[in-house]
Amino acid sequence: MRLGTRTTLLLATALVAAGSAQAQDAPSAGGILRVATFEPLCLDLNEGSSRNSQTAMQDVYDRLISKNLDGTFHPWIASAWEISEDGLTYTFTIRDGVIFHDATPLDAEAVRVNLQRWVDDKNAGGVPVASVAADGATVTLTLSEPYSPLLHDLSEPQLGLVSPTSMTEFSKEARCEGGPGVTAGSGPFRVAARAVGQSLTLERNPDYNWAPADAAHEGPAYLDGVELRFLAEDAVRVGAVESGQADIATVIPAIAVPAIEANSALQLLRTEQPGIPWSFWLNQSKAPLDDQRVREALRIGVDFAGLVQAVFLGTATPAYGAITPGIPWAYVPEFEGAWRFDAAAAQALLDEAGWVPGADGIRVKDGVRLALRDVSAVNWNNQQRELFAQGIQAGLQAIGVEYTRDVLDFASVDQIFNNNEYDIVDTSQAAGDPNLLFGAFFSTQTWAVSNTNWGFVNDPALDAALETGLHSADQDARAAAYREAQQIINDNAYLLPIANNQVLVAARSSVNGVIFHNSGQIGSYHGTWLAP
Amino acid sequence: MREILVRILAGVAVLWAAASLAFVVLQLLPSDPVQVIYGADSTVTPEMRDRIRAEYGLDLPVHQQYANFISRLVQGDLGESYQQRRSVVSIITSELGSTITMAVLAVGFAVTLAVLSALLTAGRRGFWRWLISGIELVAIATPAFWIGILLLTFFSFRWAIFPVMGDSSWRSLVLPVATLGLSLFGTLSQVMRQEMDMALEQPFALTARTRGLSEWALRWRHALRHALIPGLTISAEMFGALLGGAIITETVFGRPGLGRITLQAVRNQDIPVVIGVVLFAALVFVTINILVDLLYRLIDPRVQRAGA
Repeated sequence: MRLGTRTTLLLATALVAAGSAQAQDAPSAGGILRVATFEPLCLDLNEGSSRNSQTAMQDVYDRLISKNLDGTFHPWIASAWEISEDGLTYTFTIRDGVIFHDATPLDAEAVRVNLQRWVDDKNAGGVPVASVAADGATVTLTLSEPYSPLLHDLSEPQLGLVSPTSMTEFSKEARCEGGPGVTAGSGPFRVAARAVGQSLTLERNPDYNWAPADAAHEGPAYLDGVELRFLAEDAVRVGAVESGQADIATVIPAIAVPAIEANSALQLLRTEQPGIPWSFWLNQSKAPLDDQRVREALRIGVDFAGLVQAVFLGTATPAYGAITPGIPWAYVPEFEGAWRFDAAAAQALLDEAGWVPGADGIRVKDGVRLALRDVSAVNWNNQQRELFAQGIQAGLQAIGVEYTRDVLDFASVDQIFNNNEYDIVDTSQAAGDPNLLFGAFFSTQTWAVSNTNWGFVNDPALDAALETGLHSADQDARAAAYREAQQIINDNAYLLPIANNQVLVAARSSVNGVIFHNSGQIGSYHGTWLAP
Repeated sequence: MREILVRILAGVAVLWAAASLAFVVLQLLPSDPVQVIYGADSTVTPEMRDRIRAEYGLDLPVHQQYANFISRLVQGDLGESYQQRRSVVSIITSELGSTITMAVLAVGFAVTLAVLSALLTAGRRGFWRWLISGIELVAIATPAFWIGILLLTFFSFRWAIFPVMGDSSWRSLVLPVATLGLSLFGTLSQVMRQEMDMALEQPFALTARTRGLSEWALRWRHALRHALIPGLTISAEMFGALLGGAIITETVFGRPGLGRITLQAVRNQDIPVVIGVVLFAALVFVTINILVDLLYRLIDPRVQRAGA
């Protein structure tokens, strides 16, 4: 079960090797990159933000700071920044000479307008912002309490900088629909055309001269443009890249991997999904999962590792911690193999907890059947999870647990969460910072305050570790805090992590310089080029 | 004329009923629109919740909300999408062109094929009838999703005749239209042939034959008319349903259209869009029904006489 880390290392080496092989040829400029992917709904990320829109628009909107895959921060629109001793005041120096696509200068005032809008409209995504001010070439952001993931948040595509002129000149409706002249960022590509439901065409910004300090090259992008074609059907995206109609297809299903790997005209790019693995959040506010023995019985009562291999076909590893290998500095490889499938031990735990087999084989206690309701949202689901859940159902049936899984639309699951009518929530959460655990496990962060502590975990020791991780500015201290948090989560079986999934992208062999962003999605096309 | 006016008034009543029903269902939905409007990606403070409720008029008493809803409808305002933050009318109109194009072409394709196959095979036995009936059965039994994937696999991925990317000319329409048209063709063709079979056994057919009318002329001039009545009814219904959106075909081929919008809206409980599409579909059905009634009179003089 140590395989997980080794696979990660091999993958990392493979990516580096691919990078150096490409470096032998000089990048050639020109060409349109055709990408088969999903549609962003709203092109103004402040109005309506989804992973699809963030990925599609990351090359249109620049951010203050760039976060490298290795977790380090680099200057971008902010040429420098300072953090006060108490961790409350962040002062950013704004780079000179940057202009938006609509010729508005990107100065300190423009940055302030963007940050203020984020505070006003989005409550700053939960960041405790006290004030935002601009003075000359600097922007000062003051917090009411220390919040160490701030730089990370500012590096995310969601906080892409939008031209203040377009904010005042166009309605939010027009900005959401977007289009040339309306959608105005400062990135290496600008919007050339949008056909809603069909495609989004980006063209090179010839003036671009402010790439992040960790970018592969300075100056404008190599590509003339990028055409994003929206094909929601897995088989069609794969077919498009296999037949050469697309250069890149995103979100490749595991089942298509062998054919792509065997095809010499294609390359399969993969990275670990950062964040919380695909897991079961276990509702501890009520019976039966308020009993730790039952939670532990679930963890060892099903052959999760075997199912991961059978269903994900080598595109995922069994998960044993609350953070995936996609955030290397917070991932704890020592947890691998922390528990193993043992149906007899699981049965013994359930016996001990007072659940005895009833007439139909399902266990009963005080006249109540051991039936667990798992709830997930349509948008969080995919075919593989569907298949996997069938395996779980069979496995749990064998130890006398009835398991049902309801996959519903978002508003329905919202209601079920509000009414506490579930035992399990299954999903994964993607983000490049382990502070994700705060929203998922801190005692106050329940669904009632729009966060995801679905388990109603209420553990002072865990709260303390998560708070240290949130407030400490020291990376080593943060890593230690999140390690402790994950240890507590495992010791008490607060979460049942299942699979660390990989993000899979297929590309034609002629495509070079594709990178991943630390959100686990495909990254900027600024350094991407097509071999002639 | 008076009859048509009555039909139109009845149509308006149907629309009002559809709108009211949609409003009632909306009230019965347990979910909180604010969470839908905001999405799951941000924390909503109670003040923000109140502000959104006020912005969308969700804080008003129910009867007030209903009055506002109906009066906005009368003015042709269907509200604003929770998800896209655009007006529902502009969403529907921007998708409508592509939906109509697809619906017209697909129904045209299906009707042409069905008329041809009915003319060729009605009242006959043998290989051709056997073959065409077989094709109809396959077309009916195969889900549109699968027909689409098969057509794509061969005609786009393998032979690159009709691209699925990078082309918005007529070529990009061929496969989606064929997919939609094939699944309509099966039913239509079966019904029309059955009608023609029956017509060809009627006494008038015998009379016409004894008059020396050729077999083709008999089929073309007389029997086809009989088959057109049910054919028209079914085609009109199909057309109406297609204007509500061809969800599967649009998803497989990544095309814009009302079906894709509906699917998205239902998934995300974007209520204003769902209601908008429901009302639009009701409007289409009412209109089509009136038009079809008028067309019957042209095709079948008996209807006109009975109505007069």
